[in-house]
Amino acid sequence: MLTNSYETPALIATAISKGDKKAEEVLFKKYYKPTLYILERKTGDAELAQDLCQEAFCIMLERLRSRPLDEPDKLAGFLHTIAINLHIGEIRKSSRRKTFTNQAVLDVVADASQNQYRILQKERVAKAVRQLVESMDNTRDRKLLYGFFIQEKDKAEICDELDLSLRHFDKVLFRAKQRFRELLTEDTESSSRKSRT
Amino acid sequence: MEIISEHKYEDQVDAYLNNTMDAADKAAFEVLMLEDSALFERVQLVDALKQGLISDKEALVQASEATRQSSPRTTALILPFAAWVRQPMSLAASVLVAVLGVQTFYQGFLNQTGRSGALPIGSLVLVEGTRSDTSSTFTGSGPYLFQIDAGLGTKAEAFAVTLRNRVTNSPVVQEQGLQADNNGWVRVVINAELAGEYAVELTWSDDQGVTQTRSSLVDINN
Repeated sequence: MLTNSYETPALIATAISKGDKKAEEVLFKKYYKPTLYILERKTGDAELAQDLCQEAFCIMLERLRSRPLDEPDKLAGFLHTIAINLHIGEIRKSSRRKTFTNQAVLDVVADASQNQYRILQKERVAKAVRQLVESMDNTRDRKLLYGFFIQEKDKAEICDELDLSLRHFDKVLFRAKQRFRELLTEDTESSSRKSRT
Repeated sequence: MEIISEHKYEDQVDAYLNNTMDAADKAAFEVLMLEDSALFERVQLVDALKQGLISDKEALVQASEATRQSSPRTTALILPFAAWVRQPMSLAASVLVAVLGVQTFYQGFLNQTGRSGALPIGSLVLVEGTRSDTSSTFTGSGPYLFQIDAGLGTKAEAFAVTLRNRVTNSPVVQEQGLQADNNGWVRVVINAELAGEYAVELTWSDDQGVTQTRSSLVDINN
């Protein structure tokens, strides 16, 4: 939970510039996962994305420690630029990446349980998806999901093929997402109860 | 009213995950995702759904096939009217309705003009061979179905029936080319109003080519 002192990106950036170690932790907690997610999507490689993400945070932290940002409220944009540049650099020359030895940073970002969590999460997702598909007794709704998520067809194209209105399309898609979230939540809560007993 | 877009960036989330954003929009969206944890969670959720469906796409396809094959009646496919009309069964039903409509109209037209082949029988006149010259009396209105006894086992290529007015001796009806059934009955419908005494003559050629005649008297009262 962020405290009031670190409520905005500008406050986090300013605090880090002043040597606030707690602010560094807040920075990682808030931005690490989405940055890693973005890099995973771009690289398609979980390990490489993790390396690039760690490197991005090292660069970011060293920069903030050495000199405050001109526009601290654009902290996210700054981090994004670093991550994207690293990714582009990786594409150009994979050997260019060097290993950082800042153990303090690595300790914060390294998460040994990450892979186990991913596997567990993947299993839960698969289970929820299966339940969602089984609960859909309308063939057209299944075709809609297939066309949109798997074939990545345009919404209008799918509506035309299935003779649907755009509003109906949105409704079906929204319900599927909603149901999927409920199934995931139910499964997570059920697992939590089992682990407690 | 149901909310069909939980997040204000729902369309952008779908576009981002389906890679339909241009580079600038994508970068702006990613920065927004870094700043807005709720948006990031939404993206992760929809992405998980997408990846899960991709991993299990066979199940999605198979489930669709299974639904179609095993329980077609449980699948409610609600189509707009225009699409519904284009369905094969709808076309067939439309043709059937049109044919029935035309038939009903035509039937009504026929009934009005009296040109129908069907004729409602008003009275049955049973004419059996007797040895006496007395008339059989019938009461009823036309049209008349004359059922004339040709004799059990009587066979001929054709029978002729003549109905004569007993007073004037003039033929009222003459029908030729009639057939007898297995019980020896020859039937003829007379669509005319009859009143009075009539001679019913049944004529045929036997096996030797000899003309045979059987005559009976009927007295018809309206």
